[in-house]
Amino acid sequence: MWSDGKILRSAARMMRAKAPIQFRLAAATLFVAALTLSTMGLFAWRVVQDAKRQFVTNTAVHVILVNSRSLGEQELPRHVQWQDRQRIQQILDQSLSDAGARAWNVYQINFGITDSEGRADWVESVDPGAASLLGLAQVRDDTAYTTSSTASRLILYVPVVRQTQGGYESDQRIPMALSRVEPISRHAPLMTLSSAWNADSPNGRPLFVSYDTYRNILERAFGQPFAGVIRALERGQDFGIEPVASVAVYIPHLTDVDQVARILTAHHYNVAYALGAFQQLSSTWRTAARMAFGFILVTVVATYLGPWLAFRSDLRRSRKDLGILRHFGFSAQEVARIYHMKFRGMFLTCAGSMALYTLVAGTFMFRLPWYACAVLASVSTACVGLLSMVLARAARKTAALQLPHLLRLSNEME
Amino acid sequence: MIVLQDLRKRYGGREILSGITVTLETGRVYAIAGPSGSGKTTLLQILAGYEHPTSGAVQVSNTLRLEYAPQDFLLFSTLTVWHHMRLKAAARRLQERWEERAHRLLADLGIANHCRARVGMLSGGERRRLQLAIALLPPSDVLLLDEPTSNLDAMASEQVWETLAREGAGKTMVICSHAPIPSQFEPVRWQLRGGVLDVE
Repeated sequence: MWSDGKILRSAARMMRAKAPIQFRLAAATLFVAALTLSTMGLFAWRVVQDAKRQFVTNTAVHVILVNSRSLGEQELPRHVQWQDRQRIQQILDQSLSDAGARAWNVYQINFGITDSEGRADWVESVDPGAASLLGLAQVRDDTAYTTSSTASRLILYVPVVRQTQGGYESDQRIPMALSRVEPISRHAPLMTLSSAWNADSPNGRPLFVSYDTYRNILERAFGQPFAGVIRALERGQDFGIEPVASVAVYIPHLTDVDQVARILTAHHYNVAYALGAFQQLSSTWRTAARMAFGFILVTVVATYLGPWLAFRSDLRRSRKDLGILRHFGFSAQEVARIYHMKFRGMFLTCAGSMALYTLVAGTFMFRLPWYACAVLASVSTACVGLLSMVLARAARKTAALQLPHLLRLSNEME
Repeated sequence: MIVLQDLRKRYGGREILSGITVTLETGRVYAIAGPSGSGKTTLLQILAGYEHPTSGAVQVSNTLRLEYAPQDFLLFSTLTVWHHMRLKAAARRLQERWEERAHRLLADLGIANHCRARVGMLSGGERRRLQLAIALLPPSDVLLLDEPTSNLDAMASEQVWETLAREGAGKTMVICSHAPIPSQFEPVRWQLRGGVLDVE
């Protein structure tokens, strides 16, 4: 007994068996197109992931360093002072409270301190709670953080500073032990943003300590409580140091960074921030991204144009086949289904293998998250499915042509 | 019964059929002769429903089952003879004992030993007989045959006429042929000339 499905499948099998080389070439180009699209998608996603990881989620681009303030055109910029942190925090809380920006001081000691390794250290510190500026979870009081030490412990020989008529001098050193030394990443936000002054050189190296340790060093160096040093500094007394190196402003959302920088600039603060360095680049990036998108689009279209034209060519060549099937007694709809069945299996195989390839390659080669692989696999499958649908529609239209148009009766045998 | 009323067919500026009005009665054999290009094939294609007339009407009952064996070979060169019979059986939804009938037809037409041969390997005469076998396979009421014995030698032609006489018994047959149609068919002979059909 013939069932309709069996009849059409049987006819499709026969048609597939007689598929000319053009059809096989079309099938091959379809596989290549799907493979290309899939690989391009995986590669593009990988690039975006990397950019996101290296840029958007990089803490350094969320930080603005405020180094000085320009009060008038005629005056030289003055270095940030002790009270600027609080002032900056107030400005931001009033002007852009939604941004959730936080201001911290970055401290320094302007003279080098010799250590047990025989090197001069430029001691720096940050406010409590600002460990993330150093790329750390916490800053311990007994630890020295540096980019270039192999020692397990360090002794700082803190000079006792005396003010003389000619300036400052020191002829006494107080040893101060730090029982641990830990490395600090060169990619830590503060290291990235102030790479010039934090550069390791024969003259000295940056050495970060906790805020309490920093206070302790200053107390030992100047022989008075830290609060007294600060009060004296605020009164304008010159100690030969500027404890506040800069104010670091952390902005949680990247989109707010530029606005915060503009607000601070409007309040005469001179700012430096990684994102600012990218401002000029960003327009170039946008152009490049548009061009890349256009290029990908053109490539995808061009890649799929190949198999599409190849299948269209096969369909045109198959017109007479479709006509003969109708001459045999199949209806136009049945003929269209037979032609669809002829390539349906191949399209299914292509879609399935591309989905599998995307999932496997995406997970193991491109190291993409599963949802990215799933999205790309779906897109890849959808593209193949779309091509199949468009081709099926073209087959329906062709099969419905009048028989003489299909057959173009001639004395030549098919 | 098939009725043609003032049937006209025009290709470009050329009128191929010029107002043909005839009635084809059930069970009769009609032999249409005429020079090449006189419109015989066009007339058969219109009867088969492959072409539409420019004007006039063809009245064919919906219940009539027509089979058309054209002059051109409408075959798949890469499929076998048996594949073609299967395709025809599938297209016409033949359910019972069609294989047996197909074998008998191929045997009657002298191509039974070519069942597994690809059509591309067949001679013109063998293809002609395969095309006839395909048309004769399903049950039908009307057979439209265009040059059924072209490409055939005398012996093969004899086989074809014998098969047509047996398989076409009781059916309406319209045969266009340059070759003479055996008198055993007692055909109504028409001459198509200049687009006009004359009874001989």
